[in-house]
Amino acid sequence: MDKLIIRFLFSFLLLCGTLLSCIEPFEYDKIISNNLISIDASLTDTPGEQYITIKKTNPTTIYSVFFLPELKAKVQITEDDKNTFLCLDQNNGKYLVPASFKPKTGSKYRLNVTLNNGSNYESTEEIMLSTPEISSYNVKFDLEAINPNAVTPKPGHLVYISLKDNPELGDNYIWKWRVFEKQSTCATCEESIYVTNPAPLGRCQDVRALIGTGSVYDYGCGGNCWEIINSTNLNIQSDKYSNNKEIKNRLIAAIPFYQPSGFLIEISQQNVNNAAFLYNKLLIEQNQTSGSLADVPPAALIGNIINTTNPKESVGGFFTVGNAKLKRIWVPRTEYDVFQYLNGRQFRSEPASDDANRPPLAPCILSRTRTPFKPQDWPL
Amino acid sequence: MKQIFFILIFPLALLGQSNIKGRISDSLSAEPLVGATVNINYGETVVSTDKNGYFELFSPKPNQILIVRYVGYRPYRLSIESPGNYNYNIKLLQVANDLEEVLVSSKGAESNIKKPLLGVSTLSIKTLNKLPAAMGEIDILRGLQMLPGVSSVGEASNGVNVRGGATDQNLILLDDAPIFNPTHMFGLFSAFPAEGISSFDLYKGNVPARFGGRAAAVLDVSLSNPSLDKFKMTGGVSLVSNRIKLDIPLIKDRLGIAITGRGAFNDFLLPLASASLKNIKAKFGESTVKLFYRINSKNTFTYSNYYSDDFFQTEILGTLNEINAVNTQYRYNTLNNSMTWFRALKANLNLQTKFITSDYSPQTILPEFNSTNKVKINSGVKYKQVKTNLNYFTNKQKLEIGLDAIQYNINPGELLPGQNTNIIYVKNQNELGRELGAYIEDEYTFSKRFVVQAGLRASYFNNLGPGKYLDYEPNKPRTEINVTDTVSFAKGASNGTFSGLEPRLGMRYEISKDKSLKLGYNLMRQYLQVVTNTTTPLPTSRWKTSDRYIKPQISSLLTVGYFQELTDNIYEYSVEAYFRNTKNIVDYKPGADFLLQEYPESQILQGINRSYGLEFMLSKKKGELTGWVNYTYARSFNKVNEGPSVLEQINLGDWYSANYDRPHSVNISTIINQGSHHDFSFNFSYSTGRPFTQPQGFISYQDRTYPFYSLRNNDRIPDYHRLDFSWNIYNPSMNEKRRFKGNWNFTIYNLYGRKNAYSVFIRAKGNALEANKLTVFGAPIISLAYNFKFM
Repeated sequence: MDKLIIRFLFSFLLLCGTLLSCIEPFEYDKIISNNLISIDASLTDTPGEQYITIKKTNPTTIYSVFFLPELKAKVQITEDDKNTFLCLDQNNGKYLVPASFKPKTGSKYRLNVTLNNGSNYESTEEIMLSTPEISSYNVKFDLEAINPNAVTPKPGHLVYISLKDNPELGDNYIWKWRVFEKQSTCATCEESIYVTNPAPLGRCQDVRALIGTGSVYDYGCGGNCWEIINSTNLNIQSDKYSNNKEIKNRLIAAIPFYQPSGFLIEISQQNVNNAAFLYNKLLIEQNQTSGSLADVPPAALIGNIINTTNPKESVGGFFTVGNAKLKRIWVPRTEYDVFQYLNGRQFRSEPASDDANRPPLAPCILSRTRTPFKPQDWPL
Repeated sequence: MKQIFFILIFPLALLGQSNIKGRISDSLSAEPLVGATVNINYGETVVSTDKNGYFELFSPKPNQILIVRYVGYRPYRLSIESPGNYNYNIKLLQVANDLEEVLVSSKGAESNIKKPLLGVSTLSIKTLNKLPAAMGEIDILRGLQMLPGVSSVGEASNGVNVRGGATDQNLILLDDAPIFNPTHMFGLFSAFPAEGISSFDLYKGNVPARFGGRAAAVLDVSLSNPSLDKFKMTGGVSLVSNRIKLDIPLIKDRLGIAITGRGAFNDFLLPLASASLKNIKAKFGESTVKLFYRINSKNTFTYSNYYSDDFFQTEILGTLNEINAVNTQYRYNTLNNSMTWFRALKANLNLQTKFITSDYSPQTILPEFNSTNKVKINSGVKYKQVKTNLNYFTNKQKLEIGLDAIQYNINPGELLPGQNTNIIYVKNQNELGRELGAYIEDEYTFSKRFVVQAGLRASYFNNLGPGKYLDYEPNKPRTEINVTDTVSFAKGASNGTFSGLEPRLGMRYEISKDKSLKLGYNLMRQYLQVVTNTTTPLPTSRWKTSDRYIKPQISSLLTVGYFQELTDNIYEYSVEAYFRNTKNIVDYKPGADFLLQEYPESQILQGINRSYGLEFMLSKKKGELTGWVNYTYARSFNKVNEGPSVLEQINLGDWYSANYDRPHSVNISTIINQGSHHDFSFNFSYSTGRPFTQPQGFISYQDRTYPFYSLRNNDRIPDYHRLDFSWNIYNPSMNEKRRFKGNWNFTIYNLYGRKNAYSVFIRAKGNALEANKLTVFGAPIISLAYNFKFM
């Protein structure tokens, strides 16, 4: 009985505690009318294709933001005021950085963009700073991630890294990550079935008999396939309080637990200058850590690219050239005896039929979130 | 409340039926009340008294409730539980003859009509006890927000905004010692022990010359003196805290001590209710001690002590990015002492001398991953003050002359790595400031109609070394790239001195016995401020004295008011208009960061604030129903334009709304007194939503979409409104002779469960955006509290 009373009383406290603060969606349908140009040019010395994207927004609400690509712009990178690299227009707002562009630490880089309408944008001069290696890591598993009674799903694996800071004060580290997980399902169709035509993507084709049934069918991959989960949060830290010492146990990634087989995480670490640090810090305060009782009110982002003819124009994006250090970590996920599939359900195969060719396999199409190519350092 | 009535009852039994008759008359004059209604069982039978005040009625039911009403008189209620013949002689009390229930008024018993000061508000503690309180915790700051001209940024505000002023522009005193953080749990509860408080006054218009150091208002809270003749104990239990107050006479009629304590330590039980609450920790407590010693007929000595402590761990306050920790904890405490020696030199001349100390110590604690080590960031304000004042009064004059000296010793921040050798020990240089004040103030009655209170305060502030400061290129923004030199200055050398006069004026012209017109003017200088760029200051926010770069804030306030009493002082209404102009207000550059910042001037911009408003107040001070209704129209705008560079301007140097600019506010508080054993009360509060910054566009960065902001505070969150209900039951045992009496308080805060937005914010979610609102107390909060008295 006493326990019951305590539970009752503290259910009250729970009610109070949970109601002290509560975040919920808010309908905000005002039209935001400014057309802003964004020049997104985060380049590194990592081998592979790199793009500079130039886009412009249209008046819209926050729920339907879309960008129009800026076509036929002239995009050029200057190295140490002598070498110039002209980026190739891909006709979709993306400009491919030439393979000959191989940035070096200590060199100075400047970006110059001339739009089709003649407007000219130029970045400040950026020096490529050297980045130390990730010296160690730690992966912790939170059992709450596989708690079937959890109110809100929690990430399973928390990945922490450490590094030895450069001797000089003023280093600012920025981290990105991507996770590779083996993918066996390459297509899912709702109230329809998968057909391989048109190649190579194929499509889900409506079937009258399935409409209204709520059916969901999964289709296996026609070869090796890896799902790529990209980091969605910005993560930065300065060496303000750890100059020339070890920056220890920085939480880099919180990996959702979608399935029980192992994953490979690739962490990119890069040293950026103070202006880039402040730009990212402001974005974090405005977009990731907002919603607290003591928020920092939003303020104007000031990047390092300006319109040379109209310096008061607000320009989105930032130009950086970084020395990226990669660390790949294999996490086997063997220690947890759980069996759970992506989206919390098991593979649902299309029922067998007279057609021996059904169900077909679906192709693994290379994209930002999927690859048929075995990731580097994949152990199996 | 003195109520006189006589009832003569002559029951004559009749089986199952009643014959009720009687006479209704005025309690003082005994004149019959013609046409008074006598009502049986809420309208079953209604009769009126005749020209001699007599009535008679017949009721077939055995149990009846009889209610007698007459316009202008307190209703009279009676329960008749057995049938029979009854004859009553009922004397009704005229409402106008009630003793006035002090709800909202100027200091003391003097009415608003008579007092020369404008804009002095208080709530009686008795009223505050009756009004609904969140989770049953009596709260001075929430009570004050029911008055015109007092607002906040929301439920979790760490202070109040008075007539367009920022929270740190209010001087908050508890028995003369300053309170640097007036709330517990980040603004959810005020840090004053309601049990131990005798009175509090908010000076939002005229501020007497004895107060200085803040630009907007003064909240002067007094602890009650101990009882010198009888042991008393009061206390209470609510879902949040446990409270007790002891009055202990040590030497009868000469020496006594009063001790209060409040503690909220129930958080360890939160995980019992839900595992998801296991990471929340919230404890707070405070205590006061007041000792009073009547040395002899001419000398008294008073000592007051206040200690408060908070410990808080939650995710809703964010984390520190630059130090890697598994969570963030906050601990902050205040230790105040004040001593007063009062000496009556003559019957109309006395001298008061006070010694005051205050020590405010906030701490941020960062437990590390896979370690028992905790990194700590300490800061604090140490305050010492000595003041003396001489008071002289005659029939026409009240003269006060005083001197005071304050020393501020501020620790802006100290990073203590503990066992972690990879984190650098950082210590920002301490700030030492000395403030001197001298004042004279005289209240002079020129005639019965015209009274003037005029004061002049002179203040001087010196920011003292040792320390270092940066030299910047002239006429350029104070940024790192414009630093030309670092200059050291020795112990005792000055890093900025400021001084000035602060005139204070209050005038009252009595148009007639029940009408008066008032005019007030104030100038106040502020040498100490909180520097923070968050919506409301955190308890760990940094206090900063004026120096060679941070100029003192100077505020001048002009107020006019009209006051009138109506219907034999049953009602009072007032209209006050004010205009405030403040120089050197503090605002912040985009991305400003004050944590362990050695040279905060690089993050700060100064500008001007202009606030104005019109406040209407109608209160009903007597009768069964008491309370007030007020409406405020108030605006507060800032303009920051230090130079031509965008780094020296906010909103391109144009005017913009202050964070707490809420144009329309309506507050209604009512108490329905139902005799001495229970009452009901309601609070209703409405205000325009406060400003927030809406995006001006969208940008794409690293394949994600983000909102882009430019102009500050260009939109508003939804309007705020809330209704609260409270039911107080006093001494349910009805035994008036017992020394121990218990009371129950049942409260529903936010009765209709409106999810008022505390803030609205737009966040990137993957490649899309979403708008969210943060609500605090977003549902009806039901609470039950038990209070007791042992007298």
